[in-house]
Amino acid sequence: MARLDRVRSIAVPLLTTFVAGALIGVLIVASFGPALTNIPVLTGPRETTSARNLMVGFMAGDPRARGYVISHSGQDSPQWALFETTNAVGNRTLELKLVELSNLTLSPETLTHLGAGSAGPFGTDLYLVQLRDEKGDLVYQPFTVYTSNGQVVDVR
Amino acid sequence: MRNGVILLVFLGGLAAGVVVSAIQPPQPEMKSPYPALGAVPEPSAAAALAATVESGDAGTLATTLDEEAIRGLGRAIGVVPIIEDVRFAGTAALGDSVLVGYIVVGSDPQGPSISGFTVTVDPGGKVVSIR
Repeated sequence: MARLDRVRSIAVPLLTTFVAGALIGVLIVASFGPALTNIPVLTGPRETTSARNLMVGFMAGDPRARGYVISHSGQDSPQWALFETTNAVGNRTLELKLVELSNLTLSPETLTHLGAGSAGPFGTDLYLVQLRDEKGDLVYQPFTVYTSNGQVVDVR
Repeated sequence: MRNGVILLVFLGGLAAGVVVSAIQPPQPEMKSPYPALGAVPEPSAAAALAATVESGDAGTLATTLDEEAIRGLGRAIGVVPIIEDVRFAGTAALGDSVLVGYIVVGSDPQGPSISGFTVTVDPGGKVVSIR
C-alpha cells in the first residue's frame, strides 16, 4: 500500500505536467498554426488544394466549378473573346460560343500550375488552361485564383 | 534532478500536443488528370518587365508596353496599391511562345495584399500580352 502511494505521488504530478504541456501544445498550434503555414520560408510556395480542386472541376465541366470561375472572372461577358486562338477562325468560333457559354463544349487539354505565392493569410495561384474547340484549334486562358486561409475567394 | 525530469515531461507533453493537433484529416485533393505544359527558362524580356514593375518605373512601362498590355497589367496588379515584391512563379511553353507567371506581393491600407499576372512572350522575345 505504501509502495502504491509512493508511485502515485510520483506519477500523478508527472502525468499532470505532461497533460498541461500537451494542452499548451494544442493551444500553440491552434493559435499560430495557420500563421506558420503561411510563411513561405517554412512551407515554400505550393499549390493550394482548394485552388487546384476548383480548376480541375472547371476543366472537367463540373457545373459549380465552371459557374464559379465564369461568374467571378467575368468570362460570361464578351471578355470570353479574350480567349486567344491560333487563328481567326478559332477566334470567331469562340465569339459564336458566347451565346452558349453555359454549355461550353470546348474540350480540356492541359492544366498547368504556373506557381503560387502568399502574403499573410492570402494566397494566389496562377494557372494556364488550354482547351480545344470543335474546329480543333487550341485556345488558352490564364487564371489567377485568390485564396484566404486556404479557401478560394476569387478567380480572375 | 527533479526539476529536470519535470521539465522533460512538460516538453514531452508539449511536443505531443503539437503533434496531435497538427495531424488533421487532409482536405480531399482532386488530382489533375490533365497534363501540364513544360517549363522553360524565364525569358529576359519578362524578367525585365517584372523588375520594372517592382521598381515602379511607370515611364519605362509606358514606353515599352502597348496600350492593351498596360491595361492588362493594370487590371492584374490593381489590387496591390503598394508593391513590395514581384516574384517569378513559373513558365509554360505555349507552342513557340512562352507564358510567364509572376506573383505580386505588397499591401493596401487594410494589410497584406497579393495578386498575380501572366506575361506572354512571343518567339522573338517580345512581350505581347499581359493578363
